[in-house]
Amino acid sequence: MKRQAKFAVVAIMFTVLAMLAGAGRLKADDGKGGGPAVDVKIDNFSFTPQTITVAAGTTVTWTNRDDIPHTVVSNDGVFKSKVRDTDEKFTYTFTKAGTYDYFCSVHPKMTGKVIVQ
Amino acid sequence: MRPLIPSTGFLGTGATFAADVNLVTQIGMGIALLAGGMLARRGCYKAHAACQTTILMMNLLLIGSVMWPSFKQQVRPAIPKRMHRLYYAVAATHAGAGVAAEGLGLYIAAVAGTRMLPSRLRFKNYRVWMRFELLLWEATLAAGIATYFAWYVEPFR
Repeated sequence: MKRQAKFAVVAIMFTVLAMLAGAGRLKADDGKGGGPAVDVKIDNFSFTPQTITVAAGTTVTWTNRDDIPHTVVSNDGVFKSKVRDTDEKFTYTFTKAGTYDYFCSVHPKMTGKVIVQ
Repeated sequence: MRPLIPSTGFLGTGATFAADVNLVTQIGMGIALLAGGMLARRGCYKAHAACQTTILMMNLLLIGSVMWPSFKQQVRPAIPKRMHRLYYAVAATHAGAGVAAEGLGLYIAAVAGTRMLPSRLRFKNYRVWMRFELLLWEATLAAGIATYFAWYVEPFR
C-alpha cells in the first residue's frame, strides 16, 4: 500500500512537471522567438508611438490602422516592408543595439525611430 | 541594399517630391495640350505638332520615372482582389486610361508626323482622332489628380 502511494506521488509529480514543461514550450512559441514584443500603430498618416526604446531581441509589430496603404522602411536598409494595406502587419525582431530611423516610402513625411538598447 | 529615402513634397501633402513634381507638370501639360489644340485651330500646324509631340515625350519620361514605379510598388500587388477600395480603383483607372492615351498619342504622332506606317494603318480624319485623344488625355489627367488626392491628401480619403 505504502509502495503504491509512493508510486502515485511520483506519477503525479512527473505529470505536473511534464505539463509545466509543455506550457513553457507553448509560451516560448507564442512570443515570436521568446523575446518581448512591442506594437506600433500606423494611423492618420503617422506612427504611434513615433519613438520607442526596446531591449535587444524585441519584436516590433507595426499594424496599419489607417485606411490607406503604408510601408515601414528603415533609413539604413536593415528592414523594409512591402505595402501594407489596412489591418495588415509588419514584424521585425531587433537583435542588435542601435538607433533605427524609419519612414513610409509612400508618404516620406511619416517617420519613426526604434532605439534598441 | 540601402534604400533611397524619398524627399518630401512641396505641396504640403503626404506625397513624395517626385509625386508633387509629377502632379504640377501633368497639370501644366494638360493646359499646354489645350493651348496646342488652339494652335491647330488657328492654322499654326508646325507649332501645334511641336507642342503636342513634346508633351507626349515628356509624359513618356514621367511614366517611366515616376508613375510606373509607384504603380508597381503600390497598386499592382492589389490587382484584382482589392479593386473595391477607392484608392486602388482610381489608380488602376488612371493607369489604364493613361496607357490608352499615351499609346494613342504615339500612334497619332506616328501617322501625322512620320511616314513610317503603311497606308492601311493610317487615318485621314485627323480632327476626330486628335479631338478624341485630347478628351482622353484630359480625362486621364482628372483621374490622375483624383489618384493623387486619394493617396496623399488626408482630408479627401
